[in-house]
Amino acid sequence: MDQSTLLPSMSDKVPAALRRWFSTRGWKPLAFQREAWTAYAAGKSGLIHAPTGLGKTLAAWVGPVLAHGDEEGLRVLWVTPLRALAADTVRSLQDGLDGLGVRRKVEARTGDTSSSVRARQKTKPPFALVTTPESLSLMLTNAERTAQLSCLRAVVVDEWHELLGSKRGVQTELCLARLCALNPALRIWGLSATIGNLDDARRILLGSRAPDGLMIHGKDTKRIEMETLMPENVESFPWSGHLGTKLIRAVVDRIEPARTTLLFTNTRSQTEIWFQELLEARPQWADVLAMHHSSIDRAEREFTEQRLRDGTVKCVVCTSSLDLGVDFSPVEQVIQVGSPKGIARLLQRAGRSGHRPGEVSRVFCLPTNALELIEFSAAREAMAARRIESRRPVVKPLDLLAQHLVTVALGGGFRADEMLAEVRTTNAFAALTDDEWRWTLTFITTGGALHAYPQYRKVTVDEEGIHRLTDKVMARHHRFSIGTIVADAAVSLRLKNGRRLGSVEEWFIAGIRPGRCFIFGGRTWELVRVHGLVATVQVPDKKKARGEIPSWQGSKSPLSSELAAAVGEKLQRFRDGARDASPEMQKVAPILSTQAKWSLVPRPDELLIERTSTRDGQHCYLYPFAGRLVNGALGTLIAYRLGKGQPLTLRVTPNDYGVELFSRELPLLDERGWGILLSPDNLLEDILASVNAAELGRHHFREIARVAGLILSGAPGSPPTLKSLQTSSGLLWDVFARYDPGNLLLAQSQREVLERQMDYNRLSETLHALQQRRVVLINTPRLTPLAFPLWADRISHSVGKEDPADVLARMLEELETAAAR
Amino acid sequence: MTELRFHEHTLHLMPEGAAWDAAQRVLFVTDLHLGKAAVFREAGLTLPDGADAAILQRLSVLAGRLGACTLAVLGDVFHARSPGTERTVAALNTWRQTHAGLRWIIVPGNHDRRVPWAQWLPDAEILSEGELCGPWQLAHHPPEQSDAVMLCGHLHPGIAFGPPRQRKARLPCFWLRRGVLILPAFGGFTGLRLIEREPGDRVWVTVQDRVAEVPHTRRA
Repeated sequence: MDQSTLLPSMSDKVPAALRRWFSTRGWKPLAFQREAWTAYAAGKSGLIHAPTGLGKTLAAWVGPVLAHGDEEGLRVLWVTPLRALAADTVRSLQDGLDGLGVRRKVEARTGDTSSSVRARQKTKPPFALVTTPESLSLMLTNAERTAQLSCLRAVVVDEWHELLGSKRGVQTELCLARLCALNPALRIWGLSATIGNLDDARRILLGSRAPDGLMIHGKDTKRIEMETLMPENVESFPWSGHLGTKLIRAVVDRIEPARTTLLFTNTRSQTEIWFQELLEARPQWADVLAMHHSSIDRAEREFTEQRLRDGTVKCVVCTSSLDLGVDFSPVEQVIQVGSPKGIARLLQRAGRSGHRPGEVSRVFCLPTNALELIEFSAAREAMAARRIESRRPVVKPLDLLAQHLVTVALGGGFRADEMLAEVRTTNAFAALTDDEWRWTLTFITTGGALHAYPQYRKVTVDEEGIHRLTDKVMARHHRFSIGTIVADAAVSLRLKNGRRLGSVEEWFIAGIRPGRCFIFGGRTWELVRVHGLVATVQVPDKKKARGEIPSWQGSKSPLSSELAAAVGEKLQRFRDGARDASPEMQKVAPILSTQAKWSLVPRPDELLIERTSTRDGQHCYLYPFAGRLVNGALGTLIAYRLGKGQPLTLRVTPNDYGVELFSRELPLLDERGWGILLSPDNLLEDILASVNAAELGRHHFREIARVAGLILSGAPGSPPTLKSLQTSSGLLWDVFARYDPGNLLLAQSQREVLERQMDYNRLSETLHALQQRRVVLINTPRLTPLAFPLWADRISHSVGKEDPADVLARMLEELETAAAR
Repeated sequence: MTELRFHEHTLHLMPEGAAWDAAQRVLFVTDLHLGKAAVFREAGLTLPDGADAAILQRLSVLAGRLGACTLAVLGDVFHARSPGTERTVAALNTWRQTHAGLRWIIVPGNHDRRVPWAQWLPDAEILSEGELCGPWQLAHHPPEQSDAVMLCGHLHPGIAFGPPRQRKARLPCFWLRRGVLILPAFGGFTGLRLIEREPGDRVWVTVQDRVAEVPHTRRA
């Protein structure tokens, strides 16, 4: 390798070009940008941390351009998490190249790139390629491509915080380890927004480059203005869904004067509801109101994104599908409906407006229940202090390791010992045991325990000890199934002419009879028929009754630990009688006073347990403030442990603050009894026993089976022979469970499902933390303001003879009368 | 075990997912899909062996207990004609030697229509769709309706149970529709397809080792 190209002399001419370019734009290099450029020139790797819209891209881009602009060949790989971002990124990077007078090209290489362009990129490589983790993996399946990538000078990973914490992050780690092994002089750079564990982010991204890799901070001067739309009357009894669309007038008034508004909701169903409400309130907005959520067909979504760029849309009602994204510079304001659930998320959403440096980001928050006022107030303080959530990295996903090993076996092959060392340079597999390694290697070569896998072959070892995959058909299958994003089994919605509208979950459509109507994508559709995974719909003839709004599973994320802690501090301040000037806290004060009068406003070092009776039975309310998933898991755990002593039918209803345990007859427990129930001892054992983990693991197996290459994805134009190779993941799970129960993928599936469905790590931390908290048992004469939302959630989800709405209304009235006394 | 009467003929639905004609001593099964895992392995999909052996074991037990003279398979004995299946064929023929008295009747299905039967399973009787076996018409693909009683396979019929709007348990079932009785798949690695039930159809599932009829209360 030519070392001189790696440490270019900063000749006078080049910085002059840089100075000229910056001055024509009216920019001044920021300190962190200069720091990054100097570090790059010195051959270093690093992570650049700066908020969105502060010139992060230039900080990472100028270094490589100055250093290698006059070289031939592919020099830089720019990895972005969203392929929708690729086109915008290419434009802004090309702008930099042009501005610095480098006559080279930046091109995209994603799933959208045509094969002719891909072929041209091979023979006439551009200066830089913008790609996604999946496309990078795909390039590594090709030996020629891999050779080209081994001449890279730098890889830049954009929005690394988005990848960290997911299997795509691990996929990126593995690919980077590969590139570093191919080219010991390769520089790794990353860009990240603020997260709680930035140094982990740096260490994990840089892998073997971490020891002398840098952390560069941009100064965070972004101003965020956050205002809460205050309901006129805060009902004393907060109940989710109770406020919300009542405030539609105020929302319309906010949207009216602004050029472009993004209205964020937390779930896809909420998006549909708000879209309908807005349309009803302002029918004349029909052409300038759009909707964006992940179940809407991609083409439709891209159209909406384009309209946002052009500024031809007034308001987009959306979910986290628009959290990330294109530089929507015309966005003037952001409205957040309901709890943001996390500080990082609110910050990111707020940042979608006032995107340019120096501009102010504006976010208006709309509570859907009274307690969310506390969350908004807490989030504002945490945001100002930049107390942001951490991202927990994924560790040891063997399905992905298997996929990666096949990738490398295709792209030139590997030696086992060298590959093990390479894989162990990643954070994800640093602790990979020899046994796990051998198992994974066997999985892709001979299958597993020898007697169970006759005639299996995939990766073979040649006489020089190199693992390769030579079978052309298998190679094609593998290339089609690269990646880690596996959609849920969803029913595709189509019109009779075949136009795709998007997708909904199978169970939703199963509940609708042909001829009935439902709302999707902001319009009412009549279901014609369902065949397999395709539902055909049509525009209903006449004005039929209001449609049902689809609801999607798993679309609610729990309150983050950081926001929960911030809420806890707010409550403590109230309890201690400290002044709190925030308008939200003043508004919510009467509710908290009622809570204090009837029970207690808990402090972070207490665990409040309320017990009360109604004519239905007995209720216990625990408030660990640990997020919906953990609170639910705690409830399930308590029910299981209680049931071991005596048979007991117990209903568990969680929300982000606490959990209700409801039964005809609940055993009376003292502090010691609760201590035993909440013990972290035997946690895993009890949880596995309480939730039928095998069944959960079976449901989750689809993703793992796909990633590990056990299910062939239906590639377009796939040969008919593929038909005999199709199967369901549930069936695969059964076959493994019966004939190879030691298969490590089964255990991985159970582990992942515990983590995703009950936030297992946080559950374990919560239980340990609860040991330090004082249990406060209070018998309350009636439901308290904290308890009521939990009670209401259960009532509104249970089907009885009486209309749940009537039951709710009656209870609400009784409680409000009591509170007024 | 549930008895089904068609005129003067009786058929028993067995909890194992087979049908039994006691008068003729014929055991009817369908969709074994032998060698399926091997076909997957050949294609580079890491699937363990064992399902085939389990199918043959279940057949041994059932045929032995009932004292069957004839085994009639309504198609898809094999999952595919491929090199990987040859080992399965050998295993099956070894099994057939230990059950030498059992006569085999096969109506080839869509998965195994290209199988060289004379070579793979010498002395198995190969029927074409719609041929008679005693009073019963046999076919792999179920027709829309039938005047004489017809026994078929192919569909892997199943129904879903559970509370509305939630994930449901799926069970294989027997499905009688306009004179056509469709048997559940006998193979262990076969999956199922939910049926679209119409008024007048009858459906049975295996619950706790007995066959129970599912009343037609739920909407189709």
